[in-house]
Amino acid sequence: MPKEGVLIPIGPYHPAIKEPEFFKLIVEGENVVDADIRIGYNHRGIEYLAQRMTYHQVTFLVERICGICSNIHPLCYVQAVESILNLKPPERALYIRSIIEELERIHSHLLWLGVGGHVIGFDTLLMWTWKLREYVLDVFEEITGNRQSYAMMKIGGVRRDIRAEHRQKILKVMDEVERGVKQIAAMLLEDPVSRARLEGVGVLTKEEAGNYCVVGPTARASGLPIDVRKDFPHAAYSMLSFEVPVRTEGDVLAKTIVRIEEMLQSAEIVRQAVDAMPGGDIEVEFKEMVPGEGVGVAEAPRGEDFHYVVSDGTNYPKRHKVRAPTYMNLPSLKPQLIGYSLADAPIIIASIDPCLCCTDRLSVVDRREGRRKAYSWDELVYLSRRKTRRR
Amino acid sequence: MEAVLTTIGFLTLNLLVYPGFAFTAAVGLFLWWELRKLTARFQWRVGPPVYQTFADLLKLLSKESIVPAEANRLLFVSAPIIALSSVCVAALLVPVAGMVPLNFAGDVIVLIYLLIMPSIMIVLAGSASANPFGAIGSSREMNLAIAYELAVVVCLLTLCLDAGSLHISSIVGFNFVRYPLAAVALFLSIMAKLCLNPFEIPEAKTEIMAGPYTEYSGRLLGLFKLTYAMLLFILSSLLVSLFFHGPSTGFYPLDVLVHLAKCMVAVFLMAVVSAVNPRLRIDQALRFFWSFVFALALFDFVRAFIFSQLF
Amino acid sequence: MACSKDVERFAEDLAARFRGKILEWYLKPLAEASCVYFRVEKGSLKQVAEVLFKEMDGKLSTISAVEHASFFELVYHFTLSRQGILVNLKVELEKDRPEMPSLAPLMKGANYIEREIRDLFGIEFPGHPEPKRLILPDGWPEGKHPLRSDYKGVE
Repeated sequence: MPKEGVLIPIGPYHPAIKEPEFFKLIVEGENVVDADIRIGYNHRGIEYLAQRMTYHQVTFLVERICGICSNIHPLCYVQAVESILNLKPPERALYIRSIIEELERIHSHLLWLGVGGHVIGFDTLLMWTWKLREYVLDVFEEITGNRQSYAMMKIGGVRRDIRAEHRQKILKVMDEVERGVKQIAAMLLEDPVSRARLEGVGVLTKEEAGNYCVVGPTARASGLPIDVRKDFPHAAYSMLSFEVPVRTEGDVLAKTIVRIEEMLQSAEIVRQAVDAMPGGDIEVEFKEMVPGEGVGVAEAPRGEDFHYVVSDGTNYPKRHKVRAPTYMNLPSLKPQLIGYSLADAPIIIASIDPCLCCTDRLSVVDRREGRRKAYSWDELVYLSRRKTRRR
Repeated sequence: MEAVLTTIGFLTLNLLVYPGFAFTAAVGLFLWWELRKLTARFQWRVGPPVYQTFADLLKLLSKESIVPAEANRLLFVSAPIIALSSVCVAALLVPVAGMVPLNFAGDVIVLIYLLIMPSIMIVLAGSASANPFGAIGSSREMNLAIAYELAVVVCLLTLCLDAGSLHISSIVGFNFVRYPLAAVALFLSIMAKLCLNPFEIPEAKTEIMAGPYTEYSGRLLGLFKLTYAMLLFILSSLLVSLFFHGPSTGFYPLDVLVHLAKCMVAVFLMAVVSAVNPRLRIDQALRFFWSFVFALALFDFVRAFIFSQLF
Repeated sequence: MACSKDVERFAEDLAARFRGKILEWYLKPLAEASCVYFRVEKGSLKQVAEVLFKEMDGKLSTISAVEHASFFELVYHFTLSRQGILVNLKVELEKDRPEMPSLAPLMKGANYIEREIRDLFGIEFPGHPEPKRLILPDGWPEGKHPLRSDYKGVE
């Protein structure tokens, strides 16, 4: 595979990417001429585990697929199961789902903006956005009791209500977020040095975007107007008015602008939903599982998240397929990386907001003994506990 | 004979204590702390306590250095030592509050050479460490060094031309009034020399780990860090002496304190610039230096040349 | 968003166009959107997929492999964003030496998905441009596929 040039490894562990994956970049001088991507360093066998757990347990399992978009996987999963059961959650639950989804989008995009800043050496931006993100996490803590992994979704509804006294806090933080995002956007987008680093870098054309079937902000920055919230309305999105920002340039700057505008839209959606939320129950009961199959889709911060559940009528899913948005976006990095400078590679990789724990979902290789062994769940629990005891 | 011994004794004292190694290192570490603290405050962080840089250095110096098996051992070990010693000698040539311990004709030229040494040592260290990140960091440092060193040289020569002398003590003064553009050019070159944002290109950690320092650890890394702390003081001191010197109070220790305060202001400006800018790409930085910075320096140089011809 | 009438018409049209190749179809509600399933004859899947991808601007969301007692099933999920319809194409593969022509030459998005299924289920995709491992490590033994029901771990 190596043509002329030097192989620069980015990963499996590298300061620019926060999770293990492996980009082999072939560079000539500073120019990237070829790229090869390997994943699988974070594979935890979630799908395998899901087929050995009951339907309610899986909700919590898929919540642990990813720490950032931890709400979207349970949301997709419960929608898939509700589709099997033909279950309609109460309207209030749908609104709460939308609020959580949008709050999550805000905090995820803020996180991304900070990481993007860090990657181009703009640490001030990282610190500012992450401080703003703390306010959103505070709201989560107040509503759900958790700053991450909120455990809000349930088959047939949500597990916790948003009470009247939360309303004021949510609205206040939304104002704070809107002001902060506008300030940071001005700082980033009007600074000539930042623009020089982002503009015209890592272009993904509309044709390539379609061919690679990319999703989310990556697709919308390349001129594909796709958004699950509009195209396949779930939760309360058909009752809320919002716009889907689309840019046509396809470069890193376009992806940044799309995400910044989305944050402002999300703040608006949360305000609307908090005001329009009807009263009533937050969940419906279901008695027993029926055989069938169901699909769940939702717009994660990184794009369309997809779950497919097959039920054979027992308490355990027969098959549970998870497809995280980064899975579709990651291969599209290859055309984005080639032809640009090595110095651009980290920001290009960061620009799709890769979430690898989502993408990789157990195999343990014992290098010392030179033999391979796949551990069972109980063995892993044992090993984990033994390690804790040793500390 | 006795006079020669006394001179050598004083010079040794100068080299090791004031304004050489001990003084420069202490002030350099303090200014480095100031840089870190200010950056932290701009980023809504608390920042480190004042002894942090000293503690960091002590920790590094007490740890083992690992030399990679494939590295060129001689070059790998000697690079930080040569860098540190050249900075120690350079400390004798940079005026602090108007006083220079070593004074001879052409000392400006020697100073220029001594200040280039750390950059060359970084380049050698990166290429000696047999690491792709080190190699790329070295090539970036080399490209960048050629671009900014020329601006430094032109700035110094502007003042020499103006004073009609190659003695560093004769070009000390409040020259900012007459050559502001050269001062700006020198300031930006100093930032690149110190590897501060937006010119933190050779050791861009999110791109190439730590560039030339990737394989360095323990004492050898500590020596490089110390070199950079001392360089931070020496370069800001040079900027202050050449462009913002004076007026004198007549009492030398007080003058030194004023000088240090001015250095702190210079470091404050560096912290502001580095906090509000992302890192440039190497080609963008080179274009910036060759067109903008070099043009500033050259403009003042031409003015100095015309003045020297007229008067 | 499409109402169920539109979806039914869409499904009937597609079934009529590929008469004999689409064996049956049925609707399934999905929140407020619609989800339609087609059972497609194995050899014609590529044609149907091409129509969805090229003519209708569909986007391959993913491919799910399901192991049944006597056969493997592949479900190709397409999202037609413009029409607001989720299309699922189902094909059945025999249990021993399951094979399915690759979609990757048609759309690059299928590349990773098919490689993952090859790793985890051992279904081969002839015509794949880079049939390398994706998720399993390079030293993983041949013929061990973690998501198959007969998988008992590797020694």
